[in-house]
Amino acid sequence: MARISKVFINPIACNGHGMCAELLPELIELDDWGFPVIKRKEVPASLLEIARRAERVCPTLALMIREAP
Amino acid sequence: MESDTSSQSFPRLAVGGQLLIAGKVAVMPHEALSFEDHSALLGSAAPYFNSLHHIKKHLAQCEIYGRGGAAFPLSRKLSAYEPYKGKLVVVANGSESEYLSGKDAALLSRHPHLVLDGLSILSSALGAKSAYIHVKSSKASMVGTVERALEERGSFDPVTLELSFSDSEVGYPGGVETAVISSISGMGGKPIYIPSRPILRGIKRRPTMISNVETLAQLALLTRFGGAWFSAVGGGNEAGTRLMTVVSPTGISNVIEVVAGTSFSEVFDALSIYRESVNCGLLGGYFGQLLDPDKLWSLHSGVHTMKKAGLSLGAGVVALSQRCPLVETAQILKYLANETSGQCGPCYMGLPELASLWWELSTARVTQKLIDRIMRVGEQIRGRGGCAMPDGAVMLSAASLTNFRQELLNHQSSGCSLTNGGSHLIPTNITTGRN
Repeated sequence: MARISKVFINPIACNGHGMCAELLPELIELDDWGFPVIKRKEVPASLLEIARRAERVCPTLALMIREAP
Repeated sequence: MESDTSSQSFPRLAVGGQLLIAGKVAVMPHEALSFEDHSALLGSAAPYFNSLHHIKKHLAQCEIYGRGGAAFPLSRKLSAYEPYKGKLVVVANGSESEYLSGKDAALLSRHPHLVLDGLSILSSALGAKSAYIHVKSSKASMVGTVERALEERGSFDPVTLELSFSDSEVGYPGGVETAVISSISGMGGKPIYIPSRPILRGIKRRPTMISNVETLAQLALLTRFGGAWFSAVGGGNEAGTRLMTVVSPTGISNVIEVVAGTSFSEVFDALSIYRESVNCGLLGGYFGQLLDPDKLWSLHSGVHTMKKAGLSLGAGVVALSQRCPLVETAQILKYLANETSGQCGPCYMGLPELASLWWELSTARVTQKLIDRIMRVGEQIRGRGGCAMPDGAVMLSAASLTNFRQELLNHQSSGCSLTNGGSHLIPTNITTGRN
């Protein structure tokens, strides 16, 4: 099975800084309280680099880009 | 191995009488049954230490549905863990964090050895590395009972059974599977985030099977007396009995044992609870929903019939109320908002807002705008917590909007017509009012 990169958010670690939604509006939006909602789990190849950057800059390391089936 | 007890007649209901061993004990012991008395009552323990194969054979004859709330078939759970045989940690979950439920405490304080038998059977069948009985530290007398019971067993069990406590500071989510894992691993006892299949990376990072204490007691009885005995009561594809906590409209809590599939009207009759004194009832605890009395009185308690009706008995809680269902919904949501572990934004931000909106809905005028906002907030919370507690709150909220359309209309035109005293559906230390 082909493995593709997907976005995961650890809801316990997340404090709603909102940087992920800033960097990845195609995949993530914020709810009424400023916490991220994943609109689309799969990361297209064109967004992979910026998704990795979003993962690195998340202040609480709640955002994760993982290869998953 | 089958005993001849299958021909015995069983009481349909045991109110404050027998617990789980219907037809075997005349009266429920006032205090915990000692290991000696327990063994005398059930006969020699040796034959009921079964292989996994035998347990599955028994379950094929009559399924046991998990009694912690999810009603998941035990046979399927066992199949999911079977590949990890020899590496597992097994936990009997007696933390009973549902405030209204009293059945697990009742069971553990009277028949601790029945639960420990179940835990022992399961852990030896699965070749478990460790086995824990997990209880709430705040219930001191029950903890003492379990401690004594473990001492009495000595080295009887093939796998050493250990006692573990949950932190009493952790509220409602303390009974969640990942919270139990966190507690036993010394991580504080709040739900933790384990991405993808937490069951495989639980205590000591081993696959961890967590079962409710009543499920294990049932397993002990099924393997001890066999399928024929077990299914001598009940009907259809649901056999045996189950424990229920019924809270009367005046706030009196009763733990009773009912035959699977018994109608609720029978249960209420037996407890002298009358339809006229009830305005709504919470079915399935805080993960369930509030229903109107007509619906409650027409229901049967079978897992399958309930499921067909989109309902669940949860951990076996039915709590009745004389109060307005909209006010009760607001109260329960307020309670749940207070119980948040404060870990996940959608929970600690969303639940207080949901509770506050419901408070407005139940005490002020009902407007479409308010209802729309309740639905919007619910949609945003759903599926986004680290545990399922926020989802439970959202389901309760959505169900009350659907189940009490008439009350909403009445409130809209003339406000609430009921006098609303203190609620029995939440702990009394929760004050009413806006957040």
